[in-house]
Amino acid sequence: MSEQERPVLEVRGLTISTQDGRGLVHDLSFRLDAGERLALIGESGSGKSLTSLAIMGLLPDGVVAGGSVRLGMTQLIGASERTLNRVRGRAAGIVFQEPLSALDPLAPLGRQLAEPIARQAKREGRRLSRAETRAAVSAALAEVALRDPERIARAFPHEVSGGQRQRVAIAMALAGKPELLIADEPTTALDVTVQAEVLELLDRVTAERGTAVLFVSHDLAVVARIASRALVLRGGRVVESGDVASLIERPAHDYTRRLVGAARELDDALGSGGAR
Amino acid sequence: MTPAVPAELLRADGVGFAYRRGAPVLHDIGFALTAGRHLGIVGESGAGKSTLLRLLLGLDAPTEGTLHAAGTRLDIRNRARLREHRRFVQPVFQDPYSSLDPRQRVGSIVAEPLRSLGVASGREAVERAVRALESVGLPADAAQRFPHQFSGGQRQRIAIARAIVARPSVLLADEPVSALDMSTRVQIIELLDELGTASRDGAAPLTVVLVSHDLGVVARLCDEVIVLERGRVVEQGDTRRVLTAPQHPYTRRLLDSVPRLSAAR
Repeated sequence: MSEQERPVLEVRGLTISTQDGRGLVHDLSFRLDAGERLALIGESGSGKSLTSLAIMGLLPDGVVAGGSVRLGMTQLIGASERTLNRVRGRAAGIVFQEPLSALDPLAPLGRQLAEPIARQAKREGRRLSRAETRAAVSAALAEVALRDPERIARAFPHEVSGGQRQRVAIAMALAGKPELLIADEPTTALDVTVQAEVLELLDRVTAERGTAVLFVSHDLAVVARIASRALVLRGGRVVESGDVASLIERPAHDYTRRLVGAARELDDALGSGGAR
Repeated sequence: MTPAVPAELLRADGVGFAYRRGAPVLHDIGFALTAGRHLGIVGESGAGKSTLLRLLLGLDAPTEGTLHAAGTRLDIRNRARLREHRRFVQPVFQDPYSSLDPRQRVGSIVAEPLRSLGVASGREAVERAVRALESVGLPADAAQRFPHQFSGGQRQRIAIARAIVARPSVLLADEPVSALDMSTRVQIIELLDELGTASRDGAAPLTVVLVSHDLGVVARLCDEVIVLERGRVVEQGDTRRVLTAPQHPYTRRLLDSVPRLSAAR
């Protein structure tokens, strides 16, 4: 297989279950090519977030994965913690709904962002001086459209807004120059105007870098903004997949129809400026 | 005591609020809630939505201006007046997981306002709780069960049943669907809409004040809307008018920010 054809991510027959054998995700298969954007759509209990955690080797205790998850050249199912650590950040970065969960509350944001930047430089055979690190941190913060990057770099997580924190989390996820960015409900906790800005940012930086995106969301309209293809998950199974526009225009499965119907009802109300 | 419902249910005149020694969080809020015209209060974090809701519930008093409910001044230091207000407005909150006591059976949870407001007790309270549960679309045996035996959407129905059991005129709903799955969201909004049109046991229909950051939800339910930005009303009026011809740049920005299905490529 040539480098061109190698998928960034290939999931085959992924099963996720509790240790006592209760199935949470059943026989899930999909692939993601370089620069492609795929969404996992589902409601609570669909298994969408577990799937994204399994890809990062971050499943909680008591939950086990089987099948195959290949990230680039590396098989992640059954991989050692050492292998997983090597892959995290470098092959795939992840952004969660609540950026606070990924940030150390006791360290300035700039110092936290400096870690993956220094690691990446080391992989590229460079050793950054303190001044170089500081400049790289500022540049990374500027790339995610944070005005006044010096101030943000000195601030602690609780001293900046939710939208600013999510931008820092995106910068951290991208610092290792991964081929894949996993974004798990990255805008769900944000205000609507901030959500629009963060979606715009994700769209721009991943396009510029050619990063593939696995976008996990319950919100069809948000998915429509970002992804081109989607899997609809329910109860840990794929009920339907296809390009997002077709899923919205011609949902085939009952469940997809229900999701689209609900989203369309609110969308239509807005379109006509009120349903009443 | 069931007074005829006045056309003007709630009225705010020049309402402002500041926490002690803090900068004001609400400035010069004015609106009237008329019977049968659901009102949406829209805004983002820090807009003052929750503070305004606390004032309308009588949990805090405005530091400027006045609030009237059912035509009389709302003075929360007057206990009799506050008690009357508790029967007039009832709240529903965002999180159906933390707002229901997990140790109590649903029937008892729903009947609680009847007991605490001295409206009904004993068998009558039980019967009214069961009727309230039916009116929100829950099965008759729901009363015997515990909150954890219900899904998020069903729990929000239980919270709504509790809020309407004492037949208030106004339901103050604070982000009532934002913690719910999309398909459940629409069902709960439809339920609120039905409660607003149906007359329950001969009671007057309910008028909803919906606090939400979700313009789609507000557009679906509300006849009137107030757009709040940093404690000030930037635009208010008929929902259709505000959403189709927004006058204020902030309203336009909010509308432009809402992700739309038509963005699919």
